[in-house]
Amino acid sequence: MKLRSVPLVFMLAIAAVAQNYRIAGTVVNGANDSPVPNCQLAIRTEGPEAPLRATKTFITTSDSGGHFVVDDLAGGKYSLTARCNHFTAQALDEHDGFSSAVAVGPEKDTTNIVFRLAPSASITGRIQDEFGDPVIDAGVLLFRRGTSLGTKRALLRSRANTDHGGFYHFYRLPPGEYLIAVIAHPWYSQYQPPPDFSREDVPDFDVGEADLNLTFPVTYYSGATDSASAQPIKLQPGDRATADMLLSAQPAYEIRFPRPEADESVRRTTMHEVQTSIFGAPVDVHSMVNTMNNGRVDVVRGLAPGDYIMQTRNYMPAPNGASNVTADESRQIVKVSNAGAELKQTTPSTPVTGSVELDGIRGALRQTTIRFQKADGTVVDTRTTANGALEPFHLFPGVYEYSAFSQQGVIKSLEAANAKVIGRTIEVADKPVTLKVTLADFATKITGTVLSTEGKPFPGAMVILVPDDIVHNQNIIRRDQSDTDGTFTLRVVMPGKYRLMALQDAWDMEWSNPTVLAPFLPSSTALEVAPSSSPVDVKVKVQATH
Amino acid sequence: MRSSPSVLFLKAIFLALLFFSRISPAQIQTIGPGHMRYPNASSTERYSLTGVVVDAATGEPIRHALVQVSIEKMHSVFTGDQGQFEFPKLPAGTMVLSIVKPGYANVRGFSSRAMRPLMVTVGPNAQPVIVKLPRQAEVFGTITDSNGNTIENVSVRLMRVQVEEGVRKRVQINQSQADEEGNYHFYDLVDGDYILSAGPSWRDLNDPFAPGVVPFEYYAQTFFPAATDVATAATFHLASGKNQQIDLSLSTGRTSIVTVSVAGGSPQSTTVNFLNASGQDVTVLQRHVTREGFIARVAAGPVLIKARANDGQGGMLYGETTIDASSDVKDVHIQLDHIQVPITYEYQNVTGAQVPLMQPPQLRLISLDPVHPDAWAQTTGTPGNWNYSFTNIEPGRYRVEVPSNDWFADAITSGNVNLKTDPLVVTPGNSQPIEVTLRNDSAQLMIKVEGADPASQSQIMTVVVPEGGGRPRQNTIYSPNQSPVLSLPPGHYTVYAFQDFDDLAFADPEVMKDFARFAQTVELQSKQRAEVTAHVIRKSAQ
Repeated sequence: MKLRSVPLVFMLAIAAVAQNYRIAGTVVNGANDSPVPNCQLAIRTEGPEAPLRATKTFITTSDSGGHFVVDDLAGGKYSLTARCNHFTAQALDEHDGFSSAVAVGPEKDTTNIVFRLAPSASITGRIQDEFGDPVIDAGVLLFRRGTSLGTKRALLRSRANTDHGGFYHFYRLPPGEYLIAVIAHPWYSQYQPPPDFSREDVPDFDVGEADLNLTFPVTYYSGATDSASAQPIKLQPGDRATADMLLSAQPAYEIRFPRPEADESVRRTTMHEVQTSIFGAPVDVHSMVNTMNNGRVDVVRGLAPGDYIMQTRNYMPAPNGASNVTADESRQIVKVSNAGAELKQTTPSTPVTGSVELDGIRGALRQTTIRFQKADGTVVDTRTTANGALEPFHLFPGVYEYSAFSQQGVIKSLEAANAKVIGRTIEVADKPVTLKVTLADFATKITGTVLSTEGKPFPGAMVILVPDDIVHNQNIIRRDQSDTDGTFTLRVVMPGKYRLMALQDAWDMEWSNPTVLAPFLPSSTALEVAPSSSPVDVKVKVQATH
Repeated sequence: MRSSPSVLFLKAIFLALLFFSRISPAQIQTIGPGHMRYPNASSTERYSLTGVVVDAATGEPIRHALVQVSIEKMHSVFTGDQGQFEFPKLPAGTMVLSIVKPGYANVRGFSSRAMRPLMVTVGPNAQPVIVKLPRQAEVFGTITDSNGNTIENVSVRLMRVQVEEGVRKRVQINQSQADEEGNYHFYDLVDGDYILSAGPSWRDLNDPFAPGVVPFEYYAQTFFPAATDVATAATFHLASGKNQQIDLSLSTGRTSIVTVSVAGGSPQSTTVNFLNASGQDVTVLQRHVTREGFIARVAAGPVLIKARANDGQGGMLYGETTIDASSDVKDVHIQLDHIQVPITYEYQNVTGAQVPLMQPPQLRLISLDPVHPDAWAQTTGTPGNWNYSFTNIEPGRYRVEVPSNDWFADAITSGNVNLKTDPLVVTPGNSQPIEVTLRNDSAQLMIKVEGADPASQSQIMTVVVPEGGGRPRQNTIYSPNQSPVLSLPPGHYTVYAFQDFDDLAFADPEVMKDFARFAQTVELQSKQRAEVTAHVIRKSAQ
């Protein structure tokens, strides 16, 4: 079952039919199986068969032994969510956005459910400077090293700011390996305009001036300033780790860049984004530095030595006068050191235009967003205008996955002039690109049952549907978790040739990597999905992964 | 044009005074600190300024504090390990020192609380400066329910009881969300009396508007130690440097569902608020259900519903109604309307001076309700044909204030209501004018002070209380040599001078009664120029 948030709408009571089933069980702490009392449990009718308006919710609270019971249920599927003190609110057997729904009906035992809560861990700490003063409002970035969406990497998990005591905290962390990076400025730092920006007649007192043009370099737990020396924090379920850090101030530098020659007849707006790369993730440092605009020169101050990615975007009014459009965009890699700022690389962006058409869909095109996503997580969106044209936009050279947000259909095909399209990826070079996107309402769904080797329904397995060319079709891979009766549903499946498999204990597997998946392909089920056909009750045998 | 340095410096002082003390410019002009010498950077004489920064309570040196002095631009040094600092070569003159250190009350020219400027004089005989910084207080704790379960992400508010313009008020100074473990922490608090509250919140996985599925589990906004109304909340004192733990257990309460429709304004801009008698927002959750309609879950009890919207022409529309929400209330209707209160002025030219064509005194409304903001009157029209009015103000009860200068308000009325003694009640659609009668035969009173502590860094405050009610006039002076001059309507007055008093509620006659024996009384005749010498009342000498 895939988790989805239930919109808060008025709920109508549904007509009572054979409401004589029970869901009952015990809430336990997954770390030690001890019962968890006083949890609030929500039991909701589940499944696309139940229209949202008819969604019914039953609320109960676990008793001192962790027991809960709800009676008078009609047959069907129910989602279970528990909110317990000191635990993240979570669904039954929740993994990676999926959980197991409880199937209720004749000959289904739903009275001995063990709701095992995943205990969460936490990291708290205090950040101080070399004088013992708190570092206030420091940006603390938490990365988790592990598998996310089937890929192993250090992924930015969350971001916190220290309070006025220099304290930060990250609660409700799943077990795993964590890395911490801190971006901050000393409380006393002042990035004054350099002399040539201010008046010339400032008297030259010898006032023993203190240097306030200082900053902290990006600092990694437990104090390193290079990411290779970052010390990981390993968290077991329920761990409460402390990670205090001490930062040392260094001279701050600036980057200046001239603004483009202004054409007075055109109103242009220039935007700069300053980023630094931390564990491969571009992190915005712009809000932490001081940008000054002195006529023809923009200045970014307060930078520690290091490499920065400067993204400069010029906006111009759209021809129809509606909103601003990007005129041009460039990305510069600038090395900042005590020798000054050195431009290492400039990459201009490539302009992209295009249009969206409907294939076999009645009615006019409604507003559609086409998304381009890089492997590092950066996203560029563009929308259709009234006549089906895409708002002109820019992409930096590289490989992107493309996808669409449309109420009318999915991407049937994407054709591109001056770019290479393989599967669901597009590789953009430096030549202007023209796209033709075709939407069709031909996605379908697959329902089925996961069976154990003995042929019995198998709950909690990861069901995964992969195309032949996994590498270039990541975003049409579909997954689900089998419910308590072994059933699953894969939605929005594109027509095509697939392999279907059910894997046990595979939630940490790097499933987007073909090599990792290869051992399970021989025992997988081959499936060819035709447009708008819905394979039902596909049986798939679970495979062990350990 | 380039302003001279001293003018810039004066401007800075005036701006700082305006910002921190909300004294009107007319009053400031009478107390210009003319005795001070401003640094003359063009002179070549240079002097050293040294000093030490210490903890006010312990006397321990404070190292790595930032000390700054502004002469044309900000100059900065850090204190050393013994708290010492030095500016080796400064021009002679009086200048403002600012000191910043995390965890301590910052002295940035003027500390915002006592408005105490740290002025130093640089010159041939300058003494080392000793700066005593009070440590800030903190308050932290955990929010739980009555079973001891922590309540996550609940809103926590901190109010301080402080005096503004002589009136003791509860002012919200901090608001944050408790973290996922129910913890909150407020830093950088000056010593004083505080009120802590948390909530409202609810713990329910269900739709809060689904009727009757289960009783809705609701935590009322709770004030330390256990009050649900701010009027009965207890205050606690935070002394300088105190790190106080205060845990708060929220009481569960009953709620009601209220549906409201609001007509008259643009639907997108329409907002509604649900308040109890103390002005607390009692909304648990609200949402738009139709273009004009709202549904809200509110704490059960009497509720004031306030609605407002843009009129689409840059103006505001208001409406309000009170309901009994001890159970669900359906179909409350609020009609929005403009509020415009015109003001008319009549001049009684007693001295025969030319009646000015310039703006008459600008009226101000001081809200007497817990939640309404104050307002200034607005002027529209063209020279010679000005219109004066209050527009875009919220309904409520207000005290009308007329600043006096050469012209003062002899009478302020609205219909039969004497606004000198009674409040102005503003309702939507109201257009009864405020009539102000101005006279120009005000008297001038110079206040000299004696008995001030010359060693104190504290400023002196003079307070002039009119007999028979009315707003006291307050002035701040920075040296006993200064003598403020006030324009006052003829009448009887009591004159006080204070030093070292933070947060004196001088607008409260009960508070001032204690000082009556130190005060001077004076009777001012029409156009009289009088002088009074006030003996300084010092807190330290009390």
